[in-house]
Amino acid sequence: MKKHDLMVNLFFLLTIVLAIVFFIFSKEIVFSSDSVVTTVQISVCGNGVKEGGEDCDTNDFGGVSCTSLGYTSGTLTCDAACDYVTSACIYTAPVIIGGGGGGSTVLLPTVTGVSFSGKAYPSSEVTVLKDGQIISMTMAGPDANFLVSLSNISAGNYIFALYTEDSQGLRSSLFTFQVYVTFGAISTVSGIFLSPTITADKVEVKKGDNLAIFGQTTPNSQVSILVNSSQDFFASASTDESGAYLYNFDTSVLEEGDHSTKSKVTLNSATSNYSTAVGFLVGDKNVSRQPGADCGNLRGDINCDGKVNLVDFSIAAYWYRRTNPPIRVDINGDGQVSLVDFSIMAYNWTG
Amino acid sequence: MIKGAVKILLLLGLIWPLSGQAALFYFEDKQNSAVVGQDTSITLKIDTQGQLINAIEGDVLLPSDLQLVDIFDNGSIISFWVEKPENKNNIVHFSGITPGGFMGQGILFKILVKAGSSGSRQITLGNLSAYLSDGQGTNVIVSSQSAQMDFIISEEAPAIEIKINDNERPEDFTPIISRLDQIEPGIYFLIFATQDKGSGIDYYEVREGWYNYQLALSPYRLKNQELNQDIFVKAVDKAGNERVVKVLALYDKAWYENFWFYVIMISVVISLFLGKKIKLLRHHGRSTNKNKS
Repeated sequence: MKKHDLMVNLFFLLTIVLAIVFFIFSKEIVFSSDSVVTTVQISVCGNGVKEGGEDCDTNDFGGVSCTSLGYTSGTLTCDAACDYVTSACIYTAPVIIGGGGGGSTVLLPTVTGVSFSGKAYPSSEVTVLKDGQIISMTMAGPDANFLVSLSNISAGNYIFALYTEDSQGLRSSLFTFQVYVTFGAISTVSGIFLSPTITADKVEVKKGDNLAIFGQTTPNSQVSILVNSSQDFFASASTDESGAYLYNFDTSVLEEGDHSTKSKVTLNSATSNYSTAVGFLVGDKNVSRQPGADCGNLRGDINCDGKVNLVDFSIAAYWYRRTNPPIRVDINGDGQVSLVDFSIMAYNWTG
Repeated sequence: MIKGAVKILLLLGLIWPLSGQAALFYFEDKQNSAVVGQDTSITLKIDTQGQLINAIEGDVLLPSDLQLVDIFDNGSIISFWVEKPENKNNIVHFSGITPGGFMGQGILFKILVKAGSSGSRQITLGNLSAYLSDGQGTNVIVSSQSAQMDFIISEEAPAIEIKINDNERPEDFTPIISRLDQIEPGIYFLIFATQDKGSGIDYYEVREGWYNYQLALSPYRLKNQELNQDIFVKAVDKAGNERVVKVLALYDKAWYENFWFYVIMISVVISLFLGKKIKLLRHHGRSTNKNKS
C-alpha cells in the first residue's frame, strides 16, 4: 500500500513539474514532427543578443562564420540592421588536387548559393531581393564596391533584384536579372552597376530659370543627364569623392508643360542603367520640391510605411476588380484597381 | 562557366535596346502529342523581345474534352500572382507581377492535361496583356503569333511518364502581421508568400494557438486580434513537402489564459483528492483489520 502511495505521489509530482516547465517555456514548444519549423519573432536590433529575425547582433553571430556560410575564410561582421556583412569573407574556387596518372580529387563546394558584386555608392546600403522579397542587405565600401553572398538556397530559377539608397534616402532603380542557381555550386554575378539616384530642386520651375538636378552614384565618374521634352536634351556632370553630382539645367530651351529627367553613370567604360525618372513642370512660377514630405512620393506605398512590398500587394490584390477602391490603392487614379496599378507598384518595389 | 554565362546575361540586359517589338506569349512546343488517358505537360512561356516587362495577364483556353489535371508554377518568372493560374470551365486565367521587371525568355507556368478520346485538338491563348516596367504601366503590344498549339491525341503514341521529383521543402519565409486599414480598419491580417522551385506551392494553412490548421490565403484575417497566441503558417508544395513557420505571439497572455496553468491546477486538485482518498482507504483498512482481530 505504501509503495503504491509513493508511486501515485511521484506521478503527480512529475505531472506538476512538467506542467510548470511547459507553462514557463510554452512559447518555445512546437508540436510538429514532420516539418521544418522556423520561428519568427519581434526582435531588438542592437542589444548585443542575436534574436529571431536577426542574422546577428553586434558580436553575436549565433555560431555562424564566413566558412559556415560557404566561404573559404575571412571575417564576418554585423551591420546596423543586424544583417551579416560578408564583404570581408573570402571565397576561393574549388582546387584540383593530385593529377598525373593517379587520378584526381575535386573539392566541390558543399553549399548551393549565389554571390553578387559590383558598384553602388560610397558606404551605401545595398538591398538584395530574391523573387521580390528582401533576402539580404549589405554595406558598400567607401569606394562604392559591394559583395554579397547568399548560401543554402534551393537550386532553381530565381529573379534577383538589387537596389541601393543614397545619403539623402533616395533609391536607385531596381537592377533585375534572372539566375539559374545550380545545386552544389556558388553562381557568381559580377559587374553589377547600380543606377544613380536623381531628383530636382523644384516640382515646378519658371521657364528660363535654372533647375538643379542632382543625386549620387560612384565617385569620380561621369553622369549623363537626359531631359525629356519634345526634343531630348543631354547634359553631363562629374561626381565628387562622395559620388554626388549636380547640374543646373537652363529651362529656357524647354516648352511649358510636364517634363522628366533621368541619369546614368559611366566609369572605366562601364555604364549603368538609367535611373528612375523624376518629373517636373515648366510653368510661370517656382515651387520647391519637398523630399519625403508624405508617403505620396512613393507610388505603390499604399499603407504609407515607406516600403512597397507584399503588404501593399496584398491590399491591392484585395481591391483588384472591386468597386470604389480607396484613393491610395487606385495608384493611377482611374477609378479601379487593374494590372496597370500593379505594374506601377512593381516598378517602385522595395521589398 | 556559370560566371561567364551570367556576365553575358547582364551585358545583354544592359546593351539590349528597347526595340518596341511585341511581347510574345507562346507554348514551348508548337505541337504536342498525347496518349488517351495519360497526363501530358504543356509549358507556357513569354519572350519579352527586348522589353522590360513587369506585369502580365491572359487566358489559356482548353477544348472541352481535355481535362486539366494540375498546374505548376515552379520556376516561373512571375514572383507574385495577382490571380494564380486556375481552371474555370476549361479556361485557365492568370495575372501576376515581377518586381523590377523581366527581360528575355522565361516560363510562366506548366499545365498537366489528360485527353479522353483520340483526335486533334487546339489549345489557344486569349486576352493577353503585358505591361512595361516604366513606372506608368504602359501596355505593350502582344503578338498573337504562336498563341495556339495543335494537340494530337492518339491511342498508340509513346507516352512519357510525368513524375514530380521534388524532395525539397518550400523556401523559408517570414510572415508579416499588419493592420490593413484599407481592407478592414483596425483589423490585423497575416501576410505571407513563399516559393518552391521543385514543384511549386500547392496551398497554405494557418494555425492560431490551439486551433487546428485551416486552409488560408494571404492576406489572412487573424481570428485572435489580441495577438497573444503563437501563429503557425504551413506552406505545402505540390509534392507534399511542408515548411512551417512559427510567428511568436506579439503580446504575453494573461496568466489565467495559459493552458498549462489549468493543467497545474487540475493536477494539484486531483493529487489532493487522490491523496485524501488513499488516506481514507488506508484508515478504512486499519479499522477492518482491528475489527477482525
